[in-house]
Amino acid sequence: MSKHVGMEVSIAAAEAVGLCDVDVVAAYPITPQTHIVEHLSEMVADGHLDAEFVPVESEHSAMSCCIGSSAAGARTFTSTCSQGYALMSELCYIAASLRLPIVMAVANRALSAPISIWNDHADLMYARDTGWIQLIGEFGQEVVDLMPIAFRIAEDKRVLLPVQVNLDGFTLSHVIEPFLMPDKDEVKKFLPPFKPQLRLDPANPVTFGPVGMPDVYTEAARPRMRPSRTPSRSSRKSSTNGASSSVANTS
Amino acid sequence: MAKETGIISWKELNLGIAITTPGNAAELKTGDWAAQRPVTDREKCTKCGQCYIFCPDMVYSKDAEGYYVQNYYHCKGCGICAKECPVDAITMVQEGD
Repeated sequence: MSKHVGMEVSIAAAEAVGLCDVDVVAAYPITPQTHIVEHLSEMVADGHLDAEFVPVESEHSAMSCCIGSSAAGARTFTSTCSQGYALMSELCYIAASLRLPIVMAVANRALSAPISIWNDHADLMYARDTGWIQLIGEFGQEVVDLMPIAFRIAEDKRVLLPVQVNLDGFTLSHVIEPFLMPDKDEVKKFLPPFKPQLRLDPANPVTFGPVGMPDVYTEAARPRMRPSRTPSRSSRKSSTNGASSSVANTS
Repeated sequence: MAKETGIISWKELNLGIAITTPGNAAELKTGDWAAQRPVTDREKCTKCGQCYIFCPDMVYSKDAEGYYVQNYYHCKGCGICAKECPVDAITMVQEGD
C-alpha cells in the first residue's frame, strides 16, 4: 500500500528506483545529481536493495557499464547531469542504437562555461538526437512515478529504447516534498520482469555493436529514432501481439 | 547482415543491429575496393607459399597442382603478395584491364 512520506526529491527518486527491482546501478556522482547515486549506493550497502552497485571512475565508464549489463539482460539504472552527461554522450547514442532499455535520471544542470552547477535544460537538449526517450518530472511525485513508468516504457517490446527521466537540478532535486510512495508489490504489479529478446549469453552467442557499412547505417539508425517519435497506427494495434522482431514491429 | 551488396532494410535487421550468426564477416565482399589485382605468372612461381602467408585477407589457397590461387572476393589489392614474392612472379594489374 502507498505511504505518505516527506523527503528530498533526490532521495525519493532513489527509493523509487529501488522499488523497480533493478539489477545493476553504475553511476558517478556529480552536482546536483549526487544525492540520487549516493542514496542508491547506501541502499545497496545497507542491504535494502539487492543490486550490483558499480562505483565507476567516470560517466563514460558508467554508461559503458550500463550498456554491458543491459545487454547481458540486467535491469540497469544510472544517473548524471551536465558535464557528466557530456562525457557519457558518445555511449548514449550506442545504448539507443543497440535498443537497450537503460533508465537514467538527469538532474538538469547548465553546461560550462562558465562553470555552473545551477539549473537549466542544456543537458536535456543535448540529448535530443541520441534516440533516448525524454520524460520530465515537474514536481516530486511525478519524478517518483516516472521511475517505474520509465522502465515499463523502455522495456516494452514496441519501444525497447533507453529512457531519460529529467528533473530540475536543485530547484526540484534538492527540495523536500510530501509523497505518496508506492510499495514494492504495487510497483511489481505495474512493472513486469525484464525479459530481453536478445542478450549476451555464452550458450547462444550474439554480437552487439558491430561495424555497419553505409548500406546498412541509415537503415540501422531508423528504428532508433522512429519509436521515440509518434508511434504509428500499426504499432499501437500490435501492442499485445508480442511479435518476435521489435524492429519490424515499430513500422 | 553482412551481405555481398545492396541495402538491407531495417525490417530485416535484428533488434539493435545484433549479429546472431557468428563469423559472418566472411560474407562481406571487400574485393570491390581494389584498384589493382594480383596475377601470378606460373612460369616463375616456385610454389613457396609466401603470398599465402603474407596475405592479410585469406585470398590465397592451394590448388591441386600446388600453386597458390587468388579468390578476389576479399582481395583489396594491397600488393603485399607482389612485394613479398621472392621470385617476382606476382604482378599487380589495373582493375578493368
